[in-house]
Amino acid sequence: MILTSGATQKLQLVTSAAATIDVEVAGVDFTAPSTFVPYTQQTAITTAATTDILAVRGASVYGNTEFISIANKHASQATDVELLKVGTSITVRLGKVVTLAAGEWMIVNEQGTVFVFGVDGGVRMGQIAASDTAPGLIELAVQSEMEAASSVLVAVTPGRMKYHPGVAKTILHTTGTATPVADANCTYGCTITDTNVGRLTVNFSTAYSAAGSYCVQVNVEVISVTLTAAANMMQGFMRFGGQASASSCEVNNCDRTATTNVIRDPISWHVCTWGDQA
Amino acid sequence: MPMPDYLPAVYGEPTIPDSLVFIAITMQDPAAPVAIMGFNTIRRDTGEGPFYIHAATPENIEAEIRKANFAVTGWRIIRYEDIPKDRTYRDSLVDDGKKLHHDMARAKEIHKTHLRVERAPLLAALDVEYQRADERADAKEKKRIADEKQKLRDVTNHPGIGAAQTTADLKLVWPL
Repeated sequence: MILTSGATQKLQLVTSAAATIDVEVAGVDFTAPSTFVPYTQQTAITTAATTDILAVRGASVYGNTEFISIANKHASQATDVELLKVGTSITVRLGKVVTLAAGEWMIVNEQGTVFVFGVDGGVRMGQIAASDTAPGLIELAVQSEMEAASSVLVAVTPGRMKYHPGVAKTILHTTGTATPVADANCTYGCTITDTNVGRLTVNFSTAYSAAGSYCVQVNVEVISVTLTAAANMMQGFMRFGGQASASSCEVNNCDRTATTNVIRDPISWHVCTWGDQA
Repeated sequence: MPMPDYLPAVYGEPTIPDSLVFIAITMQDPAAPVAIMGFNTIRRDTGEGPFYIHAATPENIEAEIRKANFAVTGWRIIRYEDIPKDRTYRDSLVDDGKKLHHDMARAKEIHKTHLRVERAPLLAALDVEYQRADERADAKEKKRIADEKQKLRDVTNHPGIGAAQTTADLKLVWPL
């Protein structure tokens, strides 16, 4: 509750813009020894001004304000609102300056708790965005924010994580002997075509922004447990011109025998790609 | 010695999900073997929703082929079981519209390539031996080594290669 008494104390509202503000103030006047009289006062404010929203109660009368409603009915104009108590010898601000967007409203209940409601009718818990040092509202990151990868004030959801530049856009592991088969347990964002021995075309489900503007990492599982012989080492690589398309790439594998260095099949392919998708 | 396994089956055969469709693609380049595409009909990689169906319709398959920049003359849906499990002669695999099979002329050239690959280190070792024999002025040893090298050079002319009717026949011709 907010107490005002005597012939000088009153409540005022400061508005910073020409919105359409409706104010309702309700309470009970007390005059000793036992007179209680309820009161309400309605005020419409349409300019940037300091406006009385509760008149003085009168000599020897104690006003017990239990409810204040401040509603911004304007279609588009936001305004800051500041609640003041004009005292006998000093004017004090009651609470924080609150910005009410068009369609929002604020109430002060009998406990003195302030609630601000958004246009959807829900309580706007606070105007402060959550940060490293303060709790508050968290906005969800959209694709462009994920791709920019710079904001520290928005939260990542599972469905948007894939847009972050640090996240692989395609992941491939193959099994199979007759033909490489994409392992369903760890394949994401691609399909494959076995074109020749030691050559694999990887189709991206979502194309990259441009040909040659993405990173490809290739690894292979070699065909032998014996690593001392150079012939048993293999190297996965991207062939010259393998990034000529934004929607697919070609990777190759060869053995590392110095005398032959032939293209040949690995036991399995491991391919990941990163970049900005279209 | 027998022809070594080209690609040992380390992990056995994979379980092929029903959602994975295989496409045999015949390329415009007559020298290119048939390409095998694995077409996923259940995907989870675009948009922001869960798994979605990407049906193996002709339109979707041809879009996937275009995405890969393939110049093709035709394609058809096949089963994983239709693909020969032995990849020793993979680059000779062709599709006649009903069955995948090996073009024997290409398979024989591939067999010679396999022989050349396995022969190369043997020839290199003989080169070293020949050099040492030469340093010792050992004419008899040099002649022996030269004959061995010629035998290795001749393996690609083995008559069994030309006579082979199937890839199984070819695999038996391994004069190394």
